[in-house]
Amino acid sequence: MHRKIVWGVIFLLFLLEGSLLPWMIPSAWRGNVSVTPHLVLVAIIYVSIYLNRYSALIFGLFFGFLQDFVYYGHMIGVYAFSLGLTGYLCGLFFGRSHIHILPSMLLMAFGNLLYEAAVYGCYRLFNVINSPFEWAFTHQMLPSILFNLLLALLIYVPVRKLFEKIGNL
Amino acid sequence: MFKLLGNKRLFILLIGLIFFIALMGLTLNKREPVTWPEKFVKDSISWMQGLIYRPARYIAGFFEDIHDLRVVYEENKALKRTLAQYARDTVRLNELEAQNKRLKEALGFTERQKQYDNYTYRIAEIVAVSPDPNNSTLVINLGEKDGIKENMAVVSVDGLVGRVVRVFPFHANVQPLTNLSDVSSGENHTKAIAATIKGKETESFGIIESYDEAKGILIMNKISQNDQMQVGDTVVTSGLGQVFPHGIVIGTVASRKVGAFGITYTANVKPAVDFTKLGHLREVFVIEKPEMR
Repeated sequence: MHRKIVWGVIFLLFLLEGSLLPWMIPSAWRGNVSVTPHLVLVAIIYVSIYLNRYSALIFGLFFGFLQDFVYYGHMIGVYAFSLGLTGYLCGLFFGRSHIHILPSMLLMAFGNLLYEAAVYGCYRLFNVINSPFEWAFTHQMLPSILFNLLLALLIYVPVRKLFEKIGNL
Repeated sequence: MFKLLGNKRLFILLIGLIFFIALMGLTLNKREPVTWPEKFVKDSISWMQGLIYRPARYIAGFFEDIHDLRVVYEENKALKRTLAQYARDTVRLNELEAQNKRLKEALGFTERQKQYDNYTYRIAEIVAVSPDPNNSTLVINLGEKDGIKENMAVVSVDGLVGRVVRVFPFHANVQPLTNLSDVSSGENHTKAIAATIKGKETESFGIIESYDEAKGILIMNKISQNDQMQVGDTVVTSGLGQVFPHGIVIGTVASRKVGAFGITYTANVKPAVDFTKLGHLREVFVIEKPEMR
Protein backbone atom coordinates (compact mmCIF):
# COMPACT_ATOMS: atom_id res chain seq x y z
CA MET A 1 0.00 0.00 0.00
CA HIS A 2 2.61 2.55 1.05
CA ARG A 3 4.68 1.78 -2.03
CA LYS A 4 1.81 3.11 -4.09
CA ILE A 5 2.29 6.55 -2.59
CA VAL A 6 5.92 6.54 -3.72
CA TRP A 7 4.92 5.47 -7.22
CA GLY A 8 2.34 8.24 -7.35
CA VAL A 9 4.72 10.89 -6.09
CA ILE A 10 7.49 9.99 -8.52
CA PHE A 11 5.01 9.84 -11.38
CA LEU A 12 3.82 13.34 -10.50
CA LEU A 13 7.43 14.54 -10.39
CA PHE A 14 7.97 12.97 -13.81
CA LEU A 15 5.04 14.94 -15.22
CA LEU A 16 6.24 18.17 -13.61
CA GLU A 17 9.79 17.70 -14.87
CA GLY A 18 8.88 18.10 -18.53
CA SER A 19 5.98 20.50 -18.27
CA LEU A 20 6.21 22.87 -15.31
CA LEU A 21 9.94 23.04 -14.63
CA PRO A 22 10.93 24.51 -18.00
CA TRP A 23 8.85 27.57 -17.09
CA MET A 24 10.28 27.89 -13.60
CA ILE A 25 13.88 28.10 -14.74
CA PRO A 26 14.82 31.66 -15.70
CA SER A 27 15.74 31.83 -19.36
CA ALA A 28 18.99 33.58 -18.43
CA TRP A 29 20.18 30.28 -16.99
CA ARG A 30 19.83 28.57 -20.31
CA GLY A 31 22.07 30.87 -22.29
CA ASN A 32 25.68 29.97 -21.91
CA VAL A 33 25.26 27.02 -19.61
CA SER A 34 22.24 24.76 -19.51
CA VAL A 35 20.60 23.91 -16.23
CA THR A 36 18.35 20.88 -16.39
CA PRO A 37 16.13 19.71 -13.55
CA HIS A 38 16.10 15.97 -12.83
CA LEU A 39 13.32 15.61 -10.28
CA VAL A 40 12.87 11.91 -10.94
CA LEU A 41 16.57 11.26 -10.43
CA VAL A 42 16.52 13.14 -7.13
CA ALA A 43 13.51 11.10 -6.00
CA ILE A 44 15.14 7.83 -7.02
CA ILE A 45 18.29 8.63 -5.07
CA TYR A 46 16.09 9.34 -2.06
CA VAL A 47 14.45 5.96 -2.60
CA SER A 48 17.88 4.33 -2.66
CA ILE A 49 18.74 6.05 0.60
CA TYR A 50 15.52 5.46 2.53
CA LEU A 51 14.18 2.24 1.04
CA ASN A 52 16.70 -0.06 -0.61
CA ARG A 53 18.73 -0.49 -3.76
CA TYR A 54 16.38 -3.00 -5.36
CA SER A 55 13.42 -0.61 -5.16
CA ALA A 56 15.63 2.14 -6.53
CA LEU A 57 16.63 -0.12 -9.41
CA ILE A 58 13.01 -0.95 -10.23
CA PHE A 59 11.91 2.69 -9.99
CA GLY A 60 14.89 3.76 -12.08
CA LEU A 61 14.19 1.23 -14.82
CA PHE A 62 10.47 2.04 -14.93
CA PHE A 63 10.73 5.82 -15.01
CA GLY A 64 13.78 5.64 -17.25
CA PHE A 65 11.82 3.69 -19.83
CA LEU A 66 8.94 6.12 -19.45
CA GLN A 67 11.29 9.01 -20.23
CA ASP A 68 12.74 7.06 -23.14
CA PHE A 69 9.31 6.57 -24.66
CA VAL A 70 7.86 9.99 -24.00
CA TYR A 71 10.84 11.98 -25.28
CA TYR A 72 11.92 9.50 -27.92
CA GLY A 73 14.39 11.31 -30.09
CA HIS A 74 17.51 9.25 -30.69
CA MET A 75 17.18 5.84 -29.10
CA ILE A 76 15.46 3.88 -26.35
CA GLY A 77 17.24 2.67 -23.23
CA VAL A 78 19.61 5.50 -22.35
CA TYR A 79 17.62 6.89 -19.44
CA ALA A 80 16.46 3.49 -18.22
CA PHE A 81 20.07 2.33 -18.10
CA SER A 82 21.39 5.49 -16.45
CA LEU A 83 18.60 5.83 -13.89
CA GLY A 84 18.63 2.15 -12.98
CA LEU A 85 22.39 2.06 -12.61
CA THR A 86 22.44 5.25 -10.54
CA GLY A 87 19.67 4.04 -8.26
CA TYR A 88 21.35 0.69 -7.69
CA LEU A 89 24.85 2.04 -7.09
CA CYS A 90 23.62 4.79 -4.75
CA GLY A 91 21.77 2.16 -2.76
CA LEU A 92 25.02 0.30 -2.10
CA PHE A 93 26.44 3.08 0.06
CA PHE A 94 24.21 3.22 3.09
CA GLY A 95 22.37 0.46 4.82
CA ARG A 96 19.01 1.20 6.34
CA SER A 97 20.73 3.16 9.08
CA HIS A 98 19.73 6.65 10.08
CA ILE A 99 21.32 9.08 7.67
CA HIS A 100 22.00 12.73 8.22
CA ILE A 101 21.59 15.51 5.72
CA LEU A 102 25.24 15.99 4.79
CA PRO A 103 26.03 12.40 3.71
CA SER A 104 22.78 12.20 1.80
CA MET A 105 23.58 15.42 -0.06
CA LEU A 106 27.05 14.09 -0.89
CA LEU A 107 25.46 10.93 -2.22
CA MET A 108 23.01 13.09 -4.16
CA ALA A 109 25.89 14.93 -5.83
CA PHE A 110 27.61 11.64 -6.62
CA GLY A 111 24.42 10.15 -8.04
CA ASN A 112 23.81 13.18 -10.23
CA LEU A 113 27.35 13.07 -11.57
CA LEU A 114 27.04 9.37 -12.26
CA TYR A 115 23.75 9.86 -14.08
CA GLU A 116 25.01 12.74 -16.21
CA ALA A 117 28.18 10.82 -17.04
CA ALA A 118 26.19 7.69 -17.96
CA VAL A 119 23.84 9.62 -20.26
CA TYR A 120 26.75 11.46 -21.84
CA GLY A 121 28.65 8.18 -22.24
CA CYS A 122 25.74 6.41 -23.95
CA TYR A 123 25.15 9.22 -26.42
CA ARG A 124 28.85 9.61 -27.08
CA LEU A 125 29.25 5.88 -27.62
CA PHE A 126 26.63 5.90 -30.35
CA ASN A 127 27.95 9.12 -31.88
CA VAL A 128 24.76 11.02 -31.23
CA ILE A 129 26.62 13.92 -29.65
CA ASN A 130 30.20 14.91 -30.24
CA SER A 131 30.87 17.73 -27.81
CA PRO A 132 34.05 17.17 -25.77
CA PHE A 133 33.66 15.89 -22.22
CA GLU A 134 35.35 18.92 -20.64
CA TRP A 135 32.89 21.26 -22.29
CA ALA A 136 29.88 19.10 -21.44
CA PHE A 137 31.11 18.82 -17.86
CA THR A 138 31.50 22.53 -17.23
CA HIS A 139 28.52 23.72 -19.26
CA GLN A 140 25.92 21.02 -18.76
CA MET A 141 26.75 18.63 -15.95
CA LEU A 142 28.12 20.89 -13.24
CA PRO A 143 25.33 23.53 -13.38
CA SER A 144 22.72 20.76 -13.45
CA ILE A 145 24.27 18.96 -10.49
CA LEU A 146 24.30 22.14 -8.41
CA PHE A 147 20.74 22.97 -9.38
CA ASN A 148 19.54 19.46 -8.58
CA LEU A 149 21.26 19.61 -5.21
CA LEU A 150 19.23 22.72 -4.52
CA LEU A 151 16.05 20.92 -5.58
CA ALA A 152 16.98 17.96 -3.39
CA LEU A 153 17.49 20.25 -0.41
CA LEU A 154 14.12 21.87 -1.07
CA ILE A 155 12.25 18.58 -0.93
CA TYR A 156 14.46 16.99 1.76
CA VAL A 157 12.13 17.56 4.71
CA PRO A 158 8.86 16.42 3.06
CA VAL A 159 10.59 13.40 1.52
CA ARG A 160 12.07 12.40 4.85
CA LYS A 161 8.70 12.77 6.57
CA LEU A 162 7.08 10.65 3.85
CA PHE A 163 9.62 7.85 4.18
CA GLU A 164 9.52 7.92 7.96
CA LYS A 165 5.77 7.54 7.76
CA ILE A 166 6.18 4.62 5.39
CA GLY A 167 8.73 3.06 7.72
CA ASN A 168 6.31 3.24 10.64
CA LEU A 169 3.39 1.79 8.74
CA MET B 1 30.33 -3.25 -0.89
CA PHE B 2 32.58 -5.45 -2.98
CA LYS B 3 30.21 -8.30 -2.47
CA LEU B 4 28.67 -6.71 -5.56
CA LEU B 5 31.16 -8.64 -7.63
CA GLY B 6 29.84 -12.00 -6.51
CA ASN B 7 29.37 -14.37 -9.43
CA LYS B 8 25.63 -14.11 -9.75
CA ARG B 9 25.47 -10.36 -9.49
CA LEU B 10 28.29 -9.83 -11.93
CA PHE B 11 26.48 -12.10 -14.32
CA ILE B 12 23.22 -10.17 -13.99
CA LEU B 13 25.08 -6.87 -14.37
CA LEU B 14 26.76 -8.01 -17.56
CA ILE B 15 23.50 -9.34 -18.98
CA GLY B 16 21.90 -5.99 -18.18
CA LEU B 17 24.71 -4.12 -19.88
CA ILE B 18 24.50 -6.25 -23.00
CA PHE B 19 20.72 -5.93 -23.06
CA PHE B 20 20.82 -2.16 -22.87
CA ILE B 21 23.56 -1.72 -25.43
CA ALA B 22 21.68 -4.00 -27.83
CA LEU B 23 18.46 -2.09 -27.18
CA MET B 24 20.09 1.28 -27.81
CA GLY B 25 21.79 0.04 -30.95
CA LEU B 26 18.60 -1.47 -32.33
CA THR B 27 16.45 1.57 -31.67
CA LEU B 28 19.01 4.12 -32.86
CA ASN B 29 17.62 4.32 -36.38
CA LYS B 30 14.16 3.08 -35.73
CA ARG B 31 11.88 3.46 -38.71
CA GLU B 32 9.21 0.90 -38.03
CA PRO B 33 5.71 2.11 -37.16
CA VAL B 34 4.89 3.04 -33.60
CA THR B 35 3.57 0.11 -31.61
CA TRP B 36 0.29 0.36 -29.74
CA PRO B 37 1.68 0.27 -26.16
CA GLU B 38 4.01 3.08 -27.10
CA LYS B 39 1.11 5.03 -28.56
CA PHE B 40 -1.01 4.49 -25.48
CA VAL B 41 1.70 5.36 -22.95
CA LYS B 42 2.88 8.36 -24.91
CA ASP B 43 -0.53 9.85 -25.57
CA SER B 44 -1.84 9.46 -22.06
CA ILE B 45 1.29 10.90 -20.47
CA SER B 46 1.56 13.77 -22.92
CA TRP B 47 -2.11 14.54 -22.30
CA MET B 48 -1.41 14.82 -18.58
CA GLN B 49 1.65 16.94 -19.24
CA GLY B 50 -0.46 19.24 -21.38
CA LEU B 51 -2.81 19.72 -18.45
CA ILE B 52 0.10 21.02 -16.38
CA TYR B 53 1.92 22.86 -19.12
CA ARG B 54 -1.00 25.05 -20.12
CA PRO B 55 -1.67 26.81 -16.78
CA ALA B 56 2.08 27.09 -16.19
CA ARG B 57 2.42 28.80 -19.53
CA TYR B 58 -0.39 31.23 -18.83
CA ILE B 59 1.07 32.23 -15.49
CA ALA B 60 4.55 32.63 -16.93
CA GLY B 61 3.04 34.52 -19.86
CA PHE B 62 1.32 36.94 -17.50
CA PHE B 63 4.62 37.94 -15.91
CA GLU B 64 6.25 38.26 -19.29
CA ASP B 65 3.41 40.53 -20.38
CA ILE B 66 4.00 42.84 -17.44
CA HIS B 67 7.62 43.00 -18.46
CA ASP B 68 6.60 43.75 -22.03
CA LEU B 69 4.36 46.70 -21.07
CA ARG B 70 7.36 48.98 -21.01
CA VAL B 71 8.34 48.31 -24.59
CA VAL B 72 4.81 48.33 -26.01
CA TYR B 73 4.84 52.05 -26.91
CA GLU B 74 8.05 51.83 -28.91
CA GLU B 75 6.92 48.63 -30.53
CA ASN B 76 3.62 50.19 -31.54
CA LYS B 77 5.38 53.05 -33.32
CA ALA B 78 7.63 50.65 -35.20
CA LEU B 79 4.69 48.44 -36.14
CA LYS B 80 2.71 51.39 -37.54
CA ARG B 81 5.65 52.25 -39.71
CA THR B 82 5.93 48.71 -41.02
CA LEU B 83 2.18 48.56 -41.58
CA ALA B 84 2.34 51.36 -44.12
CA GLN B 85 5.12 49.53 -45.89
CA TYR B 86 3.10 46.33 -45.71
CA ALA B 87 0.06 47.91 -47.37
CA ARG B 88 2.23 49.04 -50.28
CA ASP B 89 3.79 45.60 -50.54
CA THR B 90 0.41 43.85 -50.55
CA VAL B 91 -0.75 45.79 -53.58
CA ARG B 92 2.41 44.85 -55.41
CA LEU B 93 2.18 41.23 -54.22
CA ASN B 94 -1.39 40.86 -55.46
CA GLU B 95 -0.38 42.24 -58.82
CA LEU B 96 2.57 39.87 -59.09
CA GLU B 97 0.55 36.91 -57.90
CA ALA B 98 -2.10 37.51 -60.55
CA GLN B 99 0.59 37.86 -63.17
CA ASN B 100 2.32 34.71 -61.94
CA LYS B 101 -0.91 32.74 -62.13
CA ARG B 102 -1.65 33.98 -65.63
CA LEU B 103 1.84 33.09 -66.83
CA LYS B 104 1.71 29.64 -65.27
CA GLU B 105 -1.56 28.99 -67.05
CA ALA B 106 -0.14 30.27 -70.29
CA LEU B 107 2.84 27.95 -69.95
CA GLY B 108 0.66 24.95 -69.21
CA PHE B 109 1.72 24.14 -65.63
CA THR B 110 0.08 21.01 -64.28
CA GLU B 111 -2.11 21.19 -61.20
CA ARG B 112 0.61 19.48 -59.16
CA GLN B 113 3.19 22.05 -60.17
CA LYS B 114 0.83 24.91 -59.36
CA GLN B 115 0.05 23.55 -55.93
CA TYR B 116 3.72 22.89 -55.19
CA ASP B 117 4.33 25.73 -52.76
CA ASN B 118 0.83 26.10 -51.43
CA TYR B 119 1.77 25.20 -47.86
CA THR B 120 -0.62 25.14 -44.95
CA TYR B 121 0.58 26.18 -41.50
CA ARG B 122 -0.98 24.19 -38.67
CA ILE B 123 -0.66 25.71 -35.22
CA ALA B 124 0.39 23.35 -32.44
CA GLU B 125 0.92 23.89 -28.75
CA ILE B 126 3.96 22.52 -27.03
CA VAL B 127 2.95 20.20 -24.20
CA ALA B 128 6.35 19.10 -22.91
CA VAL B 129 10.04 19.69 -23.38
CA SER B 130 12.64 16.99 -22.78
CA PRO B 131 14.60 17.76 -19.63
CA ASP B 132 17.88 16.57 -21.15
CA PRO B 133 20.03 18.92 -23.25
CA ASN B 134 21.48 15.99 -25.22
CA ASN B 135 18.05 15.04 -26.47
CA SER B 136 15.95 18.18 -26.55
CA THR B 137 12.79 16.69 -28.01
CA LEU B 138 9.66 18.85 -28.04
CA VAL B 139 6.24 17.27 -27.75
CA ILE B 140 3.43 19.01 -29.65
CA ASN B 141 -0.29 18.37 -29.44
CA LEU B 142 -0.94 17.50 -33.06
CA GLY B 143 -0.65 13.93 -34.22
CA GLU B 144 -1.51 11.29 -36.75
CA LYS B 145 -5.24 11.99 -36.40
CA ASP B 146 -4.61 15.60 -37.46
CA GLY B 147 -2.72 14.52 -40.54
CA ILE B 148 0.78 15.06 -39.19
CA LYS B 149 3.45 12.90 -40.80
CA GLU B 150 7.10 12.27 -40.15
CA ASN B 151 9.62 14.78 -41.54
CA MET B 152 7.21 17.70 -41.66
CA ALA B 153 8.99 20.96 -40.97
CA VAL B 154 8.22 22.79 -37.73
CA VAL B 155 8.65 26.55 -37.51
CA SER B 156 8.03 29.24 -34.94
CA VAL B 157 7.31 32.90 -35.66
CA ASP B 158 11.08 33.51 -35.79
CA GLY B 159 12.13 30.72 -38.10
CA LEU B 160 12.82 27.03 -38.52
CA VAL B 161 12.67 25.00 -35.30
CA GLY B 162 13.10 21.44 -36.52
CA ARG B 163 11.21 18.52 -37.95
CA VAL B 164 8.71 15.93 -36.80
CA VAL B 165 10.51 12.67 -36.01
CA ARG B 166 7.87 10.44 -34.50
CA VAL B 167 4.10 10.62 -34.75
CA PHE B 168 1.60 9.28 -32.24
CA PRO B 169 -2.19 9.45 -32.60
CA PHE B 170 -2.61 12.76 -30.77
CA HIS B 171 0.93 13.98 -30.23
CA ALA B 172 4.18 14.20 -32.15
CA ASN B 173 7.83 14.49 -31.21
CA VAL B 174 9.82 17.30 -32.78
CA GLN B 175 13.58 17.16 -33.16
CA PRO B 176 15.00 20.68 -32.93
CA LEU B 177 17.89 21.84 -35.12
CA THR B 178 20.19 21.67 -32.10
CA ASN B 179 20.24 17.90 -32.54
CA LEU B 180 21.61 18.14 -36.07
CA SER B 181 24.78 16.14 -36.35
CA ASP B 182 26.97 15.09 -39.24
CA VAL B 183 28.83 12.31 -37.46
CA SER B 184 26.02 9.98 -36.52
CA SER B 185 25.08 7.30 -38.94
CA GLY B 186 21.56 6.39 -39.88
CA GLU B 187 19.00 7.65 -42.32
CA ASN B 188 16.40 8.83 -39.86
CA HIS B 189 18.61 10.29 -37.23
CA THR B 190 19.14 13.79 -38.53
CA LYS B 191 18.54 15.28 -41.93
CA ALA B 192 20.78 17.96 -43.38
CA ILE B 193 19.06 21.08 -44.68
CA ALA B 194 19.62 22.47 -48.14
CA ALA B 195 19.93 26.22 -47.63
CA THR B 196 20.32 29.34 -49.68
CA ILE B 197 20.44 33.10 -49.15
CA LYS B 198 17.30 35.21 -49.21
CA GLY B 199 17.37 37.36 -52.32
CA LYS B 200 20.15 35.32 -53.95
CA GLU B 201 18.26 32.04 -54.26
CA THR B 202 19.73 31.15 -57.63
CA GLU B 203 23.35 32.02 -56.82
CA SER B 204 23.92 30.76 -53.29
CA PHE B 205 23.76 27.25 -51.94
CA GLY B 206 25.00 25.39 -48.92
CA ILE B 207 24.09 22.46 -46.73
CA ILE B 208 23.48 22.84 -43.02
CA GLU B 209 24.66 19.63 -41.46
CA SER B 210 25.53 20.18 -37.86
CA TYR B 211 25.08 22.33 -34.80
CA ASP B 212 27.95 23.53 -32.65
CA GLU B 213 26.64 23.29 -29.13
CA ALA B 214 29.51 25.19 -27.55
CA LYS B 215 29.10 28.24 -29.81
CA GLY B 216 25.35 27.95 -30.40
CA ILE B 217 25.66 28.16 -34.19
CA LEU B 218 24.65 26.04 -37.14
CA ILE B 219 27.39 25.06 -39.58
CA MET B 220 26.73 25.40 -43.29
CA ASN B 221 29.02 23.38 -45.55
CA LYS B 222 29.66 22.83 -49.25
CA ILE B 223 29.44 26.48 -50.27
CA SER B 224 31.06 27.01 -53.65
CA GLN B 225 34.08 29.29 -53.92
CA ASN B 226 32.47 31.96 -56.06
CA ASP B 227 29.40 32.17 -53.88
CA GLN B 228 28.47 35.78 -53.09
CA MET B 229 27.05 35.29 -49.61
CA GLN B 230 28.05 37.89 -47.05
CA VAL B 231 28.05 38.17 -43.30
CA GLY B 232 24.62 39.34 -42.16
CA ASP B 233 22.71 37.74 -45.04
CA THR B 234 19.55 35.84 -44.14
CA VAL B 235 19.77 32.09 -44.66
CA VAL B 236 16.58 30.38 -45.79
CA THR B 237 15.76 26.81 -46.75
CA SER B 238 16.05 26.18 -50.47
CA GLY B 239 13.58 23.32 -50.72
CA LEU B 240 15.99 21.31 -52.88
CA GLY B 241 16.36 18.69 -50.16
CA GLN B 242 12.67 17.82 -50.53
CA VAL B 243 12.26 17.47 -46.76
CA PHE B 244 11.98 21.09 -45.74
CA PRO B 245 9.81 23.44 -47.83
CA HIS B 246 11.55 26.40 -49.39
CA GLY B 247 11.77 29.93 -48.03
CA ILE B 248 11.80 29.30 -44.28
CA VAL B 249 14.17 31.54 -42.36
CA ILE B 250 16.95 29.59 -40.64
CA GLY B 251 19.23 32.38 -39.44
CA THR B 252 21.87 34.87 -40.46
CA VAL B 253 25.41 34.32 -41.69
CA ALA B 254 27.78 35.06 -38.82
CA SER B 255 31.10 34.29 -40.45
CA ARG B 256 32.53 32.51 -43.44
CA LYS B 257 35.80 30.68 -43.95
CA VAL B 258 37.54 28.11 -46.13
CA GLY B 259 36.35 24.60 -45.37
CA ALA B 260 38.29 21.56 -44.18
CA PHE B 261 39.66 20.52 -47.58
CA GLY B 262 40.14 24.00 -49.01
CA ILE B 263 37.79 23.32 -51.91
CA THR B 264 34.54 24.61 -50.53
CA TYR B 265 33.61 27.25 -47.99
CA THR B 266 32.01 26.84 -44.60
CA ALA B 267 29.77 29.44 -42.97
CA ASN B 268 28.58 29.81 -39.42
CA VAL B 269 24.88 30.54 -39.23
CA LYS B 270 23.36 32.13 -36.18
CA PRO B 271 19.91 30.54 -35.80
CA ALA B 272 16.89 32.85 -35.93
CA VAL B 273 15.15 30.85 -33.19
CA ASP B 274 16.73 31.20 -29.78
CA PHE B 275 17.29 27.54 -28.95
CA THR B 276 18.44 28.30 -25.44
CA LYS B 277 14.89 29.43 -24.70
CA LEU B 278 13.27 26.37 -26.21
CA GLY B 279 11.45 25.72 -22.96
CA HIS B 280 9.78 29.11 -23.21
CA LEU B 281 8.32 28.54 -26.64
CA ARG B 282 4.52 28.47 -26.64
CA GLU B 283 3.30 27.56 -30.07
CA VAL B 284 4.92 26.27 -33.18
CA PHE B 285 3.59 25.77 -36.69
CA VAL B 286 3.78 22.51 -38.56
CA ILE B 287 4.06 23.04 -42.30
CA GLU B 288 1.91 20.73 -44.32
CA LYS B 289 2.89 20.32 -47.93
CA PRO B 290 0.12 19.83 -50.47
CA GLU B 291 -0.47 16.17 -51.30
CA MET B 292 1.89 15.19 -54.11
CA ARG B 293 0.12 12.71 -56.32
